[in-house]
Amino acid sequence: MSLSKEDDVRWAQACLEGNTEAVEAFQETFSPNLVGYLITKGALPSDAEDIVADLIKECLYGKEGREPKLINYQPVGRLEAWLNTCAYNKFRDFIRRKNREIPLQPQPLENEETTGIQLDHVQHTEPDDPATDETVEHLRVALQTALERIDEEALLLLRLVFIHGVSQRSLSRVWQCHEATISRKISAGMQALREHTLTYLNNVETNFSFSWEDCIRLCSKHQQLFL
Amino acid sequence: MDDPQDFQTILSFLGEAHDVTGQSHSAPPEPYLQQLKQLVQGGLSEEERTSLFRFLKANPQWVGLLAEEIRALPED
Repeated sequence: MSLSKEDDVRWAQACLEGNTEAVEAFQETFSPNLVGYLITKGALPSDAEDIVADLIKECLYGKEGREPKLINYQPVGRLEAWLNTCAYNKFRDFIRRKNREIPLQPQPLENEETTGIQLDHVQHTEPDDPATDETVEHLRVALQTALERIDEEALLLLRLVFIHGVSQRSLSRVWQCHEATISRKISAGMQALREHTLTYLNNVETNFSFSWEDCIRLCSKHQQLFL
Repeated sequence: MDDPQDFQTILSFLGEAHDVTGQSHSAPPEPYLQQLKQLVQGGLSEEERTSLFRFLKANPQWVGLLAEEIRALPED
């Protein structure tokens, strides 16, 4: 294992130049770590091994005529962290591809453990996984922080319309403005909620990048725990 | 993207109880109750509106009451 970012850069460069010793060390060092990392993120061991094997090959030799992915490594962080991010992104792509292949109706509960391909299903099989619990807690804090930061008028309109079912037309009368103004304030409120949440979450969860859909899926999965 | 569904899911996740009728609570403190009614009647100053919005942000359990007041307005 290298000792510093400078070592990481030299190591990556040696791999790209085809140095056999460097390539072997790269594979031996990172393959098991990346497989273990993906398993902690909910991947099945066999899926994790396939994803990592593909990633290692892509890093060292490129894929489908493209240059080796390792060229993209920048020494702003450690090589291992960069590889973790790459592996997690490939895992997410893998889950999304699999989800598209599955009918949209809810899966029977007894099938969840064997399916192992939907992020929320995988997390359901490992409820005590500290990484999962930590991520859910980060999401909760991110959303609470975002709600605190939203303009109070926009938040009130969001609650009135989305929770209490008040029509935007009625609100435009009370607010003495055009209905489109109410609509814009609501859209801006939701946009602020999304941006504040993702900014906070992606600052805390440095190893992978959350989308808004990820957040909602996690909320949906865990909401019953907080009711 | 489904904003209403997303927002409901988030509040459920955060454990915020939804009183969609607004009728299960007694009443907010008197000054705010008056401001709430004045808002619906269009008689609140900008400063009072801001104060009321801040109160409702910190006390969302009263938003349902405001919703009821708005719904009770006669149609044009």
